[in-house]
Amino acid sequence: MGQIIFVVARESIEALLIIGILFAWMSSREGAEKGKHWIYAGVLAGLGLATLLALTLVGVTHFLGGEARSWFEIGMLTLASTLIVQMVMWMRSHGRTLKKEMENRLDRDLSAANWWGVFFLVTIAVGREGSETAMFLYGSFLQLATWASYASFFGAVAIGLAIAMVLFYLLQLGNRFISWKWFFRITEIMLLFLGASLFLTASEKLLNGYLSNVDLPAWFYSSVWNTSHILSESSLIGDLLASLFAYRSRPIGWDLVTVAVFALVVWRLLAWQSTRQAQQTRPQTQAAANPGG
Amino acid sequence: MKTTFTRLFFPLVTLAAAASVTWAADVPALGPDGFSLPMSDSGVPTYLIEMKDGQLIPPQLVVPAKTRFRIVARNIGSKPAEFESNQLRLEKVLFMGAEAYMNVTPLDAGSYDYFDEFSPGVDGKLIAKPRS
Repeated sequence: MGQIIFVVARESIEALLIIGILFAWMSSREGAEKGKHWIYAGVLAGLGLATLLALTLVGVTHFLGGEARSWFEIGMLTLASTLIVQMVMWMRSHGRTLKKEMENRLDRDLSAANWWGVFFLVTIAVGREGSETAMFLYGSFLQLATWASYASFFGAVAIGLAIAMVLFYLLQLGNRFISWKWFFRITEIMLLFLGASLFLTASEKLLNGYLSNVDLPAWFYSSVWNTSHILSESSLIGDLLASLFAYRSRPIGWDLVTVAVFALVVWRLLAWQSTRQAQQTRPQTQAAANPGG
Repeated sequence: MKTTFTRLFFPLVTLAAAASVTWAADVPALGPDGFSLPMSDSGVPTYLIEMKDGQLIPPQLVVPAKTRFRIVARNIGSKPAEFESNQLRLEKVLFMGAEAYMNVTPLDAGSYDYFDEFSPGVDGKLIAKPRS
């Protein structure tokens, strides 16, 4: 029972972090309420995806072969990490309200595109970890025999979900009691770290999979430092830090290059976004002041 | 209820105790050169790790450093397992009876851990040492 509680809570945290932040954002934005429907739709689609992927794990269907599956995982991870960065940029570009932008048709189309981003991000977040949970629960379910074991099984699933939901509610509470500016500053960093972590996992799958026959320079494979005696990923905290914050106790050259590339790209994108916004507001105010010319 | 509660809060204690018992029971076989015996060695040495409801068999592997090798994780237990090692950059979910091949990049000498993410508390240990 303890094992079921642990697995359910552990595997739901990543998805609930993403959903919780998006949900809090939409609750506090005028005109963004509609976005919640996209979250719900994404959760439903994610559950569908999780079931489908769980079936391939169990071996019921083989619509993805071993190699295709690997590419699919790498693709999902990269897409999720890209969508997270895009989501952060979108949140940055909108202040307290979406209402004004909604009146402009071009912005309305842009927002529609962003709703699809929300939808796919939530779908992947729920589907990816959900498939492992679904397979685990199905496997444990098969072992059940007595009434008491069924009761304890469903009880454990409920407790596990409840523990993970605490994170979701903390995010909603935080949104209410901390000023938006601070809430966003904190959650933005959490999202970007999660994005980096997903990107790192994708690159490691690439290194162990398709690049396994390629000989890269030796320093790519060498550990750069070792903190496993302080905090190992096999501990609960180390494991959470690894999946949410890209923590590695023995990173190799490849890991550092990957994270550096991610950080550099995100930094350039955010810098480009703020200069562009500064440029856009200036001509608009000039045009407003001088409508004829 | 009380026993499950205790198991939830002291998984480390109970599982570590169980692990130390199995450790003594099957000390991994080492070849004459001091390395674990691979299950096959056609070009890339391949080592088998079996997972049985939280138990890792063998609990310790000794492999040559700076050499590519492969790990086959096989779930022989009655529950699903997830072979995981962030230090080796591996992660594979295994249904009952499933097995998976994973490539490991050349390692620096040292010790690395692997575990079953679905039954945390028991760590397997992989030691990479230079060929003398």
